[in-house]
Amino acid sequence: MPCSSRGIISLALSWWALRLTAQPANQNKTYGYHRAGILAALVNSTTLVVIALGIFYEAYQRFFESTAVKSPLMMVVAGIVGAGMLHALGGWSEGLRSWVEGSPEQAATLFLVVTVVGVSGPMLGLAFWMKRFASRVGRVGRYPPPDARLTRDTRVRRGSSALAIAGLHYVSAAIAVVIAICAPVLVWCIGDVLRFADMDGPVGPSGQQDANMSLNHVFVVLDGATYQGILGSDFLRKEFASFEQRTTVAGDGLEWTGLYFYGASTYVEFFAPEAIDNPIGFAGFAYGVDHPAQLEWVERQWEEKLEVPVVSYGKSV
Amino acid sequence: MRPEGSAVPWFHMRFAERPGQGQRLMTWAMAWHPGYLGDWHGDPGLVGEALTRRQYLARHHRSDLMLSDVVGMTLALPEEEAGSLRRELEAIGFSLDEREQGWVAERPSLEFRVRIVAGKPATLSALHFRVAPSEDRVLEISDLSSLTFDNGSATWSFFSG
Repeated sequence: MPCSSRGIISLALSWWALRLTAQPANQNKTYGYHRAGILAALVNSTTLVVIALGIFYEAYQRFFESTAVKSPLMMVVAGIVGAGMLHALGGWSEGLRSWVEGSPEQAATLFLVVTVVGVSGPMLGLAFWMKRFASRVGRVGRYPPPDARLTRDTRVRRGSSALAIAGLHYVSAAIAVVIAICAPVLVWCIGDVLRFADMDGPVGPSGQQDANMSLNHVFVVLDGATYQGILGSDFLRKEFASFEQRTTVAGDGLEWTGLYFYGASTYVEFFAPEAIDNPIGFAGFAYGVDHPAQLEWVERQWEEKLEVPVVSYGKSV
Repeated sequence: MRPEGSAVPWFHMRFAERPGQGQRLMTWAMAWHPGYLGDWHGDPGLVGEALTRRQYLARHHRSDLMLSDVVGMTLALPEEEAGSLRRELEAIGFSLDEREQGWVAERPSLEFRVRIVAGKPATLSALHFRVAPSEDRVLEISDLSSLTFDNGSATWSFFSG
């Protein structure tokens, strides 16, 4: 649920609790409705705890199954909007307009800072006003004995718990806004480090960007002595890596035999000189992406920047 | 092949017909077919939205042995082919650094070192690996090939006699 929706529901519940608390006692509710504020506070705080647990659970899941962070896209959108706004403002100042045109990155950064201050500032202000109001009405008196006659002020005090919790809700929402705006900036700044840690994580179907592109495998046609040297090495087999000599038969009938060394996310194929129709020294490598949709991005880049035909091919086995 | 004789989709690839492509060095981009592992092993539980390189190799890689991954390679290329490969790498987001007698193309955890040679065919002269820490040593595989361990990395050189 969006942050703003949670805030609205929380505030509405607090408002309803305040109104209910102000109702006088009657024949059926001889103690009045003063527990309404406490119940509303309980609902609001329980909601916060449940949502927080949900967020923690989702974050925990990301450690094991990460998704691509589209920070460049987020930055571009923020940058375009921000630069556009500043450009509009630039109508008042030729100097500002030329600065935006000459320094779009700085303009985008300025926009983000303005957004953080502009959005979170009023939210924090509202939250502190609520807290102040809640403590003001709370000063009216301590819990009266059950037989005491409830004044309107003491009834309102019961509702102040709900208001205080709603205030806390807004503090958390303001912090969330700041984090949500700062996160893409942070990812933008240290994205390479994050990508390094998550080079092999899966990406979604919309991850057409170059995220996670790395090496799929390498092949080399070796000289006979080296190929036999590998096959006969105890060290390579027992200590260096998991490897095997394997024959593959493709769906189109092609067949090849090679030595395969398996890394965690890349592997190496070695061929003996007689194994395939290529000379000794012939080599190749495949860039690897983790989602077929990313290949379309690769194809576009090569077509546009190399201006050469790009062949698309699928293989079966 | 499936038992009834139909082929199992394996991978998708893209291949740029750049100058020099496939003469002595061949490059392409590929992604595993999301249904491959599930189809091959007859286990629908293995079919996901994508099949990552790590998932593909999970049944083969042994983390108790030294090799972690391939992290780079050294290529000796004629000038025209080096230029062609350089443009291919730049187009898909590799950053380039000029070096004496060549250049280096990088992405996180992957590095291509290219040395420009005249009058010789393109050669993959070394592979670079990330390995578990071990004592520094050199393993002679043949007269033309050796594997050198150095402080958590290893270099396997070829055709170097």
